[in-house]
Amino acid sequence: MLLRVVLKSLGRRRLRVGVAVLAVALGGLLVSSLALLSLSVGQQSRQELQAYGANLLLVPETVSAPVGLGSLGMGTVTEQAQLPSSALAYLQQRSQPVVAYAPFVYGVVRLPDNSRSVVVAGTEWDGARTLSPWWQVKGSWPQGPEQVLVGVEAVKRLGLAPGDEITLTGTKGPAVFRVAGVLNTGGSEDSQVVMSLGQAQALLGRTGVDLVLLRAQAGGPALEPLAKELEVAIPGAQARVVRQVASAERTVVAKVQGLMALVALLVLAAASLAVFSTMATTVMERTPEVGLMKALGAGPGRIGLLFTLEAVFIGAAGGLVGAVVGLGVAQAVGRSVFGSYVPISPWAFPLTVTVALGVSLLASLMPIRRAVRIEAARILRGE
Amino acid sequence: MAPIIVAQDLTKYYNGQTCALDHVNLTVAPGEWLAIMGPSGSGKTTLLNLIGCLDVPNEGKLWVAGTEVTHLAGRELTRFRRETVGLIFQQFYLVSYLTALENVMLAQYFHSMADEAEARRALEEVGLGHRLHHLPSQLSGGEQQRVSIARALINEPKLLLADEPTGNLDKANEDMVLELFRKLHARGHTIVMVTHDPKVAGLAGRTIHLDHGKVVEAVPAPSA
Repeated sequence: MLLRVVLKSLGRRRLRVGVAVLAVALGGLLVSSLALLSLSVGQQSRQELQAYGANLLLVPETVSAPVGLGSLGMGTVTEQAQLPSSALAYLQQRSQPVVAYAPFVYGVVRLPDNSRSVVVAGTEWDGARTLSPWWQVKGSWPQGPEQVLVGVEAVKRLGLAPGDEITLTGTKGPAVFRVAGVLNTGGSEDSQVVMSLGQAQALLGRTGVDLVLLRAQAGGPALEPLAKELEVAIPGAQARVVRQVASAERTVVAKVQGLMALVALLVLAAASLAVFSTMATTVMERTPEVGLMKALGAGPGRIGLLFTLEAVFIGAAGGLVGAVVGLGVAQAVGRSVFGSYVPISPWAFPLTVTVALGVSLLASLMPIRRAVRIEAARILRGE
Repeated sequence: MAPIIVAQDLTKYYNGQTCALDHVNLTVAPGEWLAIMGPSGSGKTTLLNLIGCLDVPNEGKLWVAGTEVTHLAGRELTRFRRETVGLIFQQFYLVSYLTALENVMLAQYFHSMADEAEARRALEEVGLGHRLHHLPSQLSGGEQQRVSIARALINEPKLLLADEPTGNLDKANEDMVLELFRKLHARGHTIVMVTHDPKVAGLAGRTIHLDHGKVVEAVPAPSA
């Protein structure tokens, strides 16, 4: 009988109940979609943030020693160390979590007129392009060993253009290169001539490298153990976590998730206001009805249950609609923002319905209390 | 036979100062039809509400069906009301979105358990067997009042309280409802009815007049 009363009462106020259900559904939609997006945003953001470069740096361990004569200190001498080529061999055969690496060797070479010099950087193109996606090349990327990129500043200083030849003299004598493209990075590379690692090593008479940039998938806190592992595996190497990128990942993910939670909270607050308004109006309109029910012998429990069931209906209906639509919205947002579908979590659905029920019941608490306190005699007296 | 209602110095104040009932003494025998008359604000409905356990007096004592209800409160008073009293109102107070049948079943539900067959019989008894599934808005005033009488009778109360039951009805419907009350009285129901209409009061076995919360006249004198 109670269920019949509840359903008929809801049916009679279709429009008002519909608005309340819609408000809860909107809240549920956001909870559902944001919960799903929040789960995947960490992974997706990490992938997106890989575009911002390396998160580990491998450099040779430097040995410094104080020098002087008696009590006269003359500063320190530092050994110019290199990473051995075996380090690259190790990184090449190591798979996860290192997803990309780029070795660099640097040296100063002279130009044919002997009065000017330029810094040469040697690297492996694939790794450099993966770790530095912001590098812009006007012309083309080098296709052969003799082709180089010249930084945008160096081009101006040396009066070069794509297709020009350039003769560089290193410790092993002169070598001729062709400018494939002009490199613009916004960094120190803009003043350098960048060539393949082998060519640079040959020109500079070096066998090792000066540093290796690495991108590890782990991200965040897991980078420290990986750095220690690399130091053990590559003797003479020092691994440093690039703090900005690692912490940027954590910060961005935390901020995005926080923003999502805030938006969901605000919408839920608005939904609870809508439910409160609906239930308060309902109780006010139905005061004579409640007075009659009390006169017929309904106790506070029955009256409370009647309105609680209505709130449960609004919450459940809104939650179910919100969960289903939210699933679709999450997929649409995932597709448009991250370019992939968002994985469906099994608890997103019950979470949404539970939150919607909670919002509806909490918002109905005060109107229900008011209904329970209605005095039959006052209503029947016409007060 | 022990009286079904005994009121001793029954007094009710509203807002702590307005005296709605002033030391009213009253006895009603089982099976009696008592009419309460008086001008507006004389305390008729207040007396009915106290007898119907919808309200509690500030002073005095009241026994209904052998129970001193002035000692009851909250859930006990509610339980006593639903088991002892049937209420009929001038404005009918039917639930607008429930059918005639469901309105009667609602009283059953709050009493114990809804029984559709029994509710159907109650409506047939008041001549509404053909209007079971009509909403109150689809019924005439007289029909609505008859639904409310069926609802009041469905739980077989010891006492039937009616507050201006014909106040909102036209002549034809009034006659129909009063005929129903006559039959109920003939079957032994105790009826306490508030009315403005001397003709309606004339059907009762006894009439008391209230003025400013006091019983000023009783016609005829109650039989001991």
